Amino acid sequence: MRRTARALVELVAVLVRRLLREGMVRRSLLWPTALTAGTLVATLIVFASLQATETVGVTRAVSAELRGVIEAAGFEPVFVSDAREAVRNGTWAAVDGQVLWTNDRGPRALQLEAALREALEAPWRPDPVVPLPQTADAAPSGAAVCRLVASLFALYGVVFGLGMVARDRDDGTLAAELALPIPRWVPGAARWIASTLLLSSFYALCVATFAAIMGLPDAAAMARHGAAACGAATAIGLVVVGRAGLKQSFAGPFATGMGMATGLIALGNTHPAVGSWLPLASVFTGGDGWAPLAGTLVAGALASAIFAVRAARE
Amino acid sequence: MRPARVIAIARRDLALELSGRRGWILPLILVGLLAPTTVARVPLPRAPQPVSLRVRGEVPQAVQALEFVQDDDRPQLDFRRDDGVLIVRANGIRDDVRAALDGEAPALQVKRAIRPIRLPGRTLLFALISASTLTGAVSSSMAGERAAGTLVGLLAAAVTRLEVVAGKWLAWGGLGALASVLAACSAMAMGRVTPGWWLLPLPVVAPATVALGFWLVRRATDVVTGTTVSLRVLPAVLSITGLGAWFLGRVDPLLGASVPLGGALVAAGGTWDGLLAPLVALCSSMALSLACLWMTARDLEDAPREAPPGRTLRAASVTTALAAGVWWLPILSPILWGAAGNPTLTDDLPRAAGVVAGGLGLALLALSGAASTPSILQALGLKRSPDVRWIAGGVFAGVVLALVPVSGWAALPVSPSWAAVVERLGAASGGLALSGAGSTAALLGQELFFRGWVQHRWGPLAAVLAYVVVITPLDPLAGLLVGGVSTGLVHGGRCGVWPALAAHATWTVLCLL
Repeated sequence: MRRTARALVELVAVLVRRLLREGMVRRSLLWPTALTAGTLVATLIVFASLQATETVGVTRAVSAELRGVIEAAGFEPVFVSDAREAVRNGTWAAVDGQVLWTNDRGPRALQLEAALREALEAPWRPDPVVPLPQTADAAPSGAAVCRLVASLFALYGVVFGLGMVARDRDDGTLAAELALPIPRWVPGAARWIASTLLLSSFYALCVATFAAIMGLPDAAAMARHGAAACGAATAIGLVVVGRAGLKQSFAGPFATGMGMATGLIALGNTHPAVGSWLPLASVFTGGDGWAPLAGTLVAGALASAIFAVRAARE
Repeated sequence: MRPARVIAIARRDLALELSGRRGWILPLILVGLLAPTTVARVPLPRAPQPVSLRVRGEVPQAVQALEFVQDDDRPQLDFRRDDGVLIVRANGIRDDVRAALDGEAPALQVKRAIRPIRLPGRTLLFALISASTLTGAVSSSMAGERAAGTLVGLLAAAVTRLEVVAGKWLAWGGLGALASVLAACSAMAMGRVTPGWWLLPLPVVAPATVALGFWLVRRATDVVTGTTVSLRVLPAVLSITGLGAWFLGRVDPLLGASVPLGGALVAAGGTWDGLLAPLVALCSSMALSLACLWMTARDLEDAPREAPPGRTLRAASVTTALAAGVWWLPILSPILWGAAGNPTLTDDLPRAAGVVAGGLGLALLALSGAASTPSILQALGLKRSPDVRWIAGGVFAGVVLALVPVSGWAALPVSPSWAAVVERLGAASGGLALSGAGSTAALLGQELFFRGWVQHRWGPLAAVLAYVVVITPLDPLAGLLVGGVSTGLVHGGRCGVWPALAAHATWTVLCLL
């Protein structure tokens, strides 16, 4: 028993190290967090630099007085020949005598409309409410990003589960492991633990990053759902690989694994009541994530057992 | 290039994947995904449902007369009068409400000027599904051969590098093209789509994706590496070039069509009329395919093994820059909400989460670097047993750091707009004034990265300098003192990072108390 446990730990450490040694794998693990967080930060920087003034197109027909009103309201008037065409071509808003052309119906457009109506002595004018989102409003968006990233990590899980077996079978590493005086489920379990540990750690980095820069309703639950998804996806990879190697039939099991993983995610979307209990399916549902986490342990144990029976059979 | 050899290699590749019982899986999945797209009828768009409108205050009769208007204490429109002028408090006003308020002679008209948008049709899906189902085949075809050692044999045979790559491209690109054309023919036979020039670029999407995939994984040494690359990059490239082509196509269809891959994808959706745009899309994607195949063939034998980062100044600088990004991004980014106009969000977001993310990021960075050495534990300074005397020294150093606060002694003079940056970096430096999770993450991340990995790889001076640059860039003296003490403990004790961990833990605990 002690020898089995030690072999399991050693194999997990070796597999984690082997995965992390590959620069492409490292970049793949960092890519989703870097891409999503980087895009958000870049958007904020652009927004912060653009929010100072908004350009409003004005035709020659607009009086100097009205142009002054537009400027006083915090907008920058620029001359355009055709107000309608200017907005069609991407200008935020344009004024053409007594017509305000804009496709924006939000508070900022209402500010411009209010200033113009006041200047034109209209019988009514809007008083825009500019609601600033609070953490509770931003958190669901943060959660949505984390769920999408969890789906991608789950697909990585399928690749890791499937690829580690196929690769090691073809280069002879798996045969060497199976020749060791340890139970045959150990190599499968080691692959499942190594992949789940690695993917969950990098997914936790994503969750913590988004909890910091956007807020999350329950970061710990989000991390549990993600870890459950990574574990279940790896288990799927271990199950579908069967006796496949790289010399024959990798694409088929790969497509099957991807289909099963995305099918489970879709199940969670369409039937949240069922999905919230199942690992992978729970990614897009609510809940505290403990049940899917327990489920992924069962899936890992099952996958190791199936691996011992099918994949490890030489 | 000899066609017979190219075809032989293509047949060999297809036979490896598609023979036997398992060989049916990939074609079946292709059929399973393409069939519903081909057969399904597109539902007609539903008429928009009327939405209720909550109002309050002095609501004019004309607005009251609108359908689905109801009084409510949480109104969308709040009406009041101010000097005879009706004021409508709202964050958006519907066009029918505006028309009701304006009456016969509006003082100001608000109109939309939307350019008609033409979206790609379902035929885009034929190309997209055919291309995306081949991710596994692309990875195993090149990286799998390399891992299995069969690529060497293939390269030693009487075929050129270009023939090898072209053969593999013919196999998988051909399969994807065939699948998309068959799906299109079925849809046309069932009357779901009408023939058009979109048929021209349709078959080049999958081959161009396969060629790009080959180029991406040309140096991958095993299938896991290859698949993770193609899995993350190919969907992103397809989406970005597709969106880019569509947006450029709104300016001029030829401009959009000239975007390689994306142009063909959008043109395959029948987005642009006429022959010219689909023809340009076909040519741009074919050019991309040829370029990728040529570059893949050129680099086919170049498969460098990942070596541990060198001990050069450049490698140390890159590692420090990465660490700075990992530490600063979650800690400083919330400030941007304030700059973008929502300071409430900056104040409300949990700071401890940023330090947890930064600490975890540093720890993972250290682990990734250490994985390329013979012993991870040794590279992180965890292999050696803790020496009680040096641990005691670490505890003493931690007490001294807590009693003599060094922060702010010689902070760099910065403009007031940078005050938030100074304050956040200062608070995060030791995980001070934060929760237990934040402090623990800061402790582990900083010690494993600076005193573990950087000190092991580049020496004590680099560890101190990297600490100053990443953790205390605006308060360098404090960084030099804290980093110097911790690094000195690790360097002098020669018993791993344990004394530095003890010093940092003591310092943090005393500050939290």
